[in-house]
Amino acid sequence: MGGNRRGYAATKFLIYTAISGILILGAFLGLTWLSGATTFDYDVQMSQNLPLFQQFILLGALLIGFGIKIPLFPFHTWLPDAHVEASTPVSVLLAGVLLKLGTYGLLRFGLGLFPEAWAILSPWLASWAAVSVLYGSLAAIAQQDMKKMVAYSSIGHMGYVLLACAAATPLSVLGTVFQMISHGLISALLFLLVGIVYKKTGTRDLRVLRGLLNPERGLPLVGSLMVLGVMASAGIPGMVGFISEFLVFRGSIVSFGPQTLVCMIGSGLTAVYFLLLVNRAFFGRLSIGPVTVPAEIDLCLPPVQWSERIPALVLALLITFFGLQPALVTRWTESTTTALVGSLPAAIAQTPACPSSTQNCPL
Amino acid sequence: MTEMPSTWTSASTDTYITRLLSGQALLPDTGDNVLEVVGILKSYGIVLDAYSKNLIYIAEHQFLVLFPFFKYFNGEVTFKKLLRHWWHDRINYEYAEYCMRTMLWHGGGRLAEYLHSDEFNQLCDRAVQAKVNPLLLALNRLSPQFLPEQVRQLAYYSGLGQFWRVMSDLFLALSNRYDAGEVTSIADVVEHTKAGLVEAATKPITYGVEIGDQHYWLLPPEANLTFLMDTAVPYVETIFFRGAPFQGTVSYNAQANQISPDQSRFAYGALYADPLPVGGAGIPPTLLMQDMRHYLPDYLRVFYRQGLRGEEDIRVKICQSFQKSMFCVTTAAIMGLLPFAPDTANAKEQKANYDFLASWIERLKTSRLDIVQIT
Repeated sequence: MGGNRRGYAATKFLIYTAISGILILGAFLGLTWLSGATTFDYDVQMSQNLPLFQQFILLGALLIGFGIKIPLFPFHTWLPDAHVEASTPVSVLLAGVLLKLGTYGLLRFGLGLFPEAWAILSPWLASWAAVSVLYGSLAAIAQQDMKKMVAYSSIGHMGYVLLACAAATPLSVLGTVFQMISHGLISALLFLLVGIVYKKTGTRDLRVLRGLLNPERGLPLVGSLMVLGVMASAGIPGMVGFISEFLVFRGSIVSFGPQTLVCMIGSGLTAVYFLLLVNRAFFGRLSIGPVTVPAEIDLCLPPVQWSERIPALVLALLITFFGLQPALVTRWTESTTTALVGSLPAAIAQTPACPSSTQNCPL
Repeated sequence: MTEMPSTWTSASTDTYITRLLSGQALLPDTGDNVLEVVGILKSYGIVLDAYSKNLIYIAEHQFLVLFPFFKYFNGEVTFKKLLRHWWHDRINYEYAEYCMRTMLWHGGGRLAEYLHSDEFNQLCDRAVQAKVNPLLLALNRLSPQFLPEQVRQLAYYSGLGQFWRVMSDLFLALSNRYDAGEVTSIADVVEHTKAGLVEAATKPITYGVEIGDQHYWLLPPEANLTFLMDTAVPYVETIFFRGAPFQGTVSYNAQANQISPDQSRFAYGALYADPLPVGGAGIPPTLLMQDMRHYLPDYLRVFYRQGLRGEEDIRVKICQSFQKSMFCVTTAAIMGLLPFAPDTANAKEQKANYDFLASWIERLKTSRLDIVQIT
């Protein structure tokens, strides 16, 4: 299992995550030591009252630590390598679950434990998010490997989480959680589909793949789900990506207008690179290889089993279902995110908090 | 992943000419090719039988019916048949009309000439006046070229129907001979087809309609239209060679220059068509492949199941087999039209034969001829 350079990718991943782990652990130890607490209990740590300078140091360590895990530019370089060399299930786990440990940590420990320092840093964090989104999107456009394109798209889309965390409004924090779920589902779907394409064609190279939507001999269902997946990722209404991006942008635009607008451009760029992907690999005459005259002899790809299709179908259904019924997701998390924002000092609450639910927010 | 090697080279014109003159066909003589060609022609024969009956029914019984809602019912309109029609459990007669319209558009042969003659215009006018339908007559006054054009189209309905009647019987007879062990090679298939074409060559093509108690000729026997030169040859030219590009596979925008402005240079016919898009939207042969799928002989179905995707890509496989069979029919047609005997010892006649065949092979250079040599 895995690609030819899996040793290199695994070592790089190990070193990055080890550094990330050391920084996070160091920050937690430092917090306990400096606050004089005798326990790592979250509630006890929440009530610490460290000087601002110490907060900056500790928060900085956490930001880099979790920034590696998410990953955010410029700590992202392990991600494309890891994805390209990983087998499909590992890629799905990596994108769907592992990255979210970073965003969860950012929300819970960055914003939750150091609200004053966070409030001061938040404009810079929002700008960092905008850079990360733009970088991820532009890098994705340049990719020729389908999996790398999806991996760079992850870097861009994780930037939304940092933006929403920086804004720290009830709506944006809710958007943060929604974006984690949404990105988990969408990227898992995209990695699954890219995995199927690779298994059936032996390549992910967008310079040679063409016409995979061919109805009889190509991968028509995989192609259709890919179209659905990229639409969801680009934030087309009716799917879960739209809800999360709308919540993030609407929750952040008042606090950080320019940065949010840049992130919106990133969202538009998602459509650019994923349309490039769909157009190159799925449209045209079915073939693997450069265009030749006369045309390549009729290609026949191996059949796709239902066992390979079902996980992707389930994810596609969830993406559409939660896109049409987002309240089913928000009702689990809204009280927690509202309470989290409510517990923050006034300095960070940059827009009026919604009284009870997002439905009452003046959107 | 690929079924075939990704690189292949085209055989030379001389190779093909030598093969044809030695009694072989454009399609290599292999056991699989014989099985595919005969099997698919059996299925095609059954489908052509249905197409032919319906085309002739429309020409004769739906003459200038402005809203022919039940034209595919062959005069038998029942609720059960209507339900089957809506359920799409039926022959796709639309494909027959697609071929008919393509023939009408490309024209060619004396049939097209006759349909634009004064004699035809007079016959057509008589038939139109006999309809005694105020709406039709008003329409005729308003747009005098509309109804004659409709009648020309109906003449093509009839002409193609009569052509396919002969071909259907010919292909079903071939299948029976194969089942009886009389046909064992591609050369036998070509010979059977050629003999059938020659036998029917002078069969008259006529068309008339009953209006009231009166019979009205539109293609009268005096026009001397015959099977081979006035339907078969234009059919081969139109359907095998020229055809029309499928929507979605080339740009219809004139500025893209993807379609020749000269329709005599069209090369989108059955011998050139790419089987891979079959099954996609806007690809008319899909209809034919769907129809043939219902009537595949068991031995061919078993053969198709052995492929990488089993029956999943059966319409593409049917299209590939169909294309092979059409190369056999083309061989029969070319050899039937050969100016002199293939084994002539006269040098001038040999040269004439060579030039004749070279012009056809040249036309087939961009067709799928080279591909069927190795698939």
